[in-house]
Amino acid sequence: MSKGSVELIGVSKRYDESLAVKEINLKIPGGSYCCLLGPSGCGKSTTLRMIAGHEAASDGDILLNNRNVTDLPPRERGTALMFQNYALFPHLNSLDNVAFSLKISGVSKEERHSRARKMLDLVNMERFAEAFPEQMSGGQQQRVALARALINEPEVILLDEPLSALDPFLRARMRTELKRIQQKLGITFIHVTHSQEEAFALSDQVVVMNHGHIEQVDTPVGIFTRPRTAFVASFIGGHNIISGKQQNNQFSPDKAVTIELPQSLHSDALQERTVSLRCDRIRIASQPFEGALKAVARIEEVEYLGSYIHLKCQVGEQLCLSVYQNDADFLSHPFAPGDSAYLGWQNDQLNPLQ
Amino acid sequence: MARINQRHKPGFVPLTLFFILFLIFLYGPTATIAILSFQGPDGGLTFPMNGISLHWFRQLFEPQQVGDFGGSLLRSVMLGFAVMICTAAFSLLAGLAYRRKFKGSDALFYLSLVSLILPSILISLGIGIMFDRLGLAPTWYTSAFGAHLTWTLPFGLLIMFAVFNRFNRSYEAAAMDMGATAWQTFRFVVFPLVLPSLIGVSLFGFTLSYDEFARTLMTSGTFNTLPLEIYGMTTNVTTPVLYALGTVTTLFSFSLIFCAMFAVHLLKKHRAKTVN
Repeated sequence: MSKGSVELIGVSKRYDESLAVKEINLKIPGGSYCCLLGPSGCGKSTTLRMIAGHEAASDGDILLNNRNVTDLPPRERGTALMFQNYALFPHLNSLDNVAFSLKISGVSKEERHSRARKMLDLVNMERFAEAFPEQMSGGQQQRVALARALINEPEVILLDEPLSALDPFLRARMRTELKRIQQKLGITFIHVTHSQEEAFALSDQVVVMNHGHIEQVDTPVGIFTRPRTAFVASFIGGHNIISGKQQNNQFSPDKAVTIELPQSLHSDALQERTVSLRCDRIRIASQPFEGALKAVARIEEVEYLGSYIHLKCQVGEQLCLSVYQNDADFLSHPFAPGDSAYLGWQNDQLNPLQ
Repeated sequence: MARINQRHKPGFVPLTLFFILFLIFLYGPTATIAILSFQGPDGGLTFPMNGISLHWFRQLFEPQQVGDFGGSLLRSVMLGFAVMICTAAFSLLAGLAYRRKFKGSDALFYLSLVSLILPSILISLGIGIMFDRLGLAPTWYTSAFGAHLTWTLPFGLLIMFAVFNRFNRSYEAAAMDMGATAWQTFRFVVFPLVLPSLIGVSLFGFTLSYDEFARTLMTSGTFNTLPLEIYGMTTNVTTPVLYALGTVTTLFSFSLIFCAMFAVHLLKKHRAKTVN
């Protein structure tokens, strides 16, 4: 593995009685952008803090560049943590904040200031070198915090929900900025977030976590097209999760509804089955069409969301499907609540869940 | 809505009058003493003013028959500074210690609070008796110094508790993450951040000591501190020198406060200037 690789082997974190992180195994290649994605309390921040060395692992090993760092303090790991609220020192200006780690390691004032200026330049904050944290906006503070994390030339940067304190516009801009800096420096970024949009936009590798364990590790495309569990499918959104009984190829989530499964999911025995189906892969029309469900769907809700429209459809008694229809189709033939409609999809769009 | 703002609520007028009365009660005596201290050379301790002069201020700095104003002021200031430095140092250290639980921390905390609750005069008496039993002569720089610390330390400790309760631990974590040792984290991060509060504790410690009467009464030995001296003079001195003394000491306290405020103002201005 290249420089800046991180590996977790059976890592757990125990707080008194409860397990915050349960024996996770994870390999993050050097120089990649990895997002730990999950709801609050899923153990993603704890995992990050264990990699940083601010939290001791109760069990397991943490390797950095194949070197076991489990028991090393933060400063001997070659990582830098960017705190959620940036933790810029309020009594120092940007320049001195960025130069802090050089100051404590005894670098002369001239040299540390010139290096700090270069870092501020990298994050486009050279004009704010003299500004104190309270005089800067959230986005500006964050850039300074990033410069401060980068100045020691760490091999791994750890970011704890770095964009959550920013407004949506700034968040999108900083996201681009983070990716640009990561690609320019070629170092490993491990980024904790609860936003799937953020994770998809940034990551080479997404790690979806829930209840202290890893649900799925994959590329953003892999996560979105082939979610492994019902949790992943529901957390990333845009998926219908359909449960029912299956025999042979016939899958019935409702008495009145029978869905044909792809050949790969064939099973002779009667069994429970859960599949996911992307909302934007469902075709909807007011007239029956080739391959449409026999059962008629009733439109329950219509939400206009700009480029697409969210239609909530009830099929039979128990099956409720969300459909994303593109706006051109919707505007040429608008549906209203109470309308009848026909739904259909390619059966290879049905993705089995564990 | 505008109407509601224009009209006062029913209690406004009586409460305002009451508050004005309170202000008069609070500052009236001080103002009266300040005015009377400018009494003419032939004037007495009460109104009317018999001319206006600085006569009594000059008198103040000349050797008195009773009362050693200069000496007692010097003693009080020196004692105040010593108490101030000890209070600041020990409050900071205790505040740091109490950031984690240690064995007996609760007991120690309550024990230090006891000296706030006990009547000052009893503590003074106790320390006086203890020195007597030990065969030591009580002086303002030993027994009185200790007696003042029993008063200022618990206050300083409580203030530092409040300060460290609000202290964001992620600053320290950030410093550690950047490779700072525990000492460097304290020296470059924690200390500068609590310094303003520590200055507050210092000023507080000084003023508490500077005007402490009861705890000095039995512990100061041969030489008086200023509050004891003033008390002695009220019973012996029958001239407006007493008022001049009051005015000078009040001005001294005020000037301390203004110096502190001015320093803070300068600091803020300096910061604002470095930015633009």
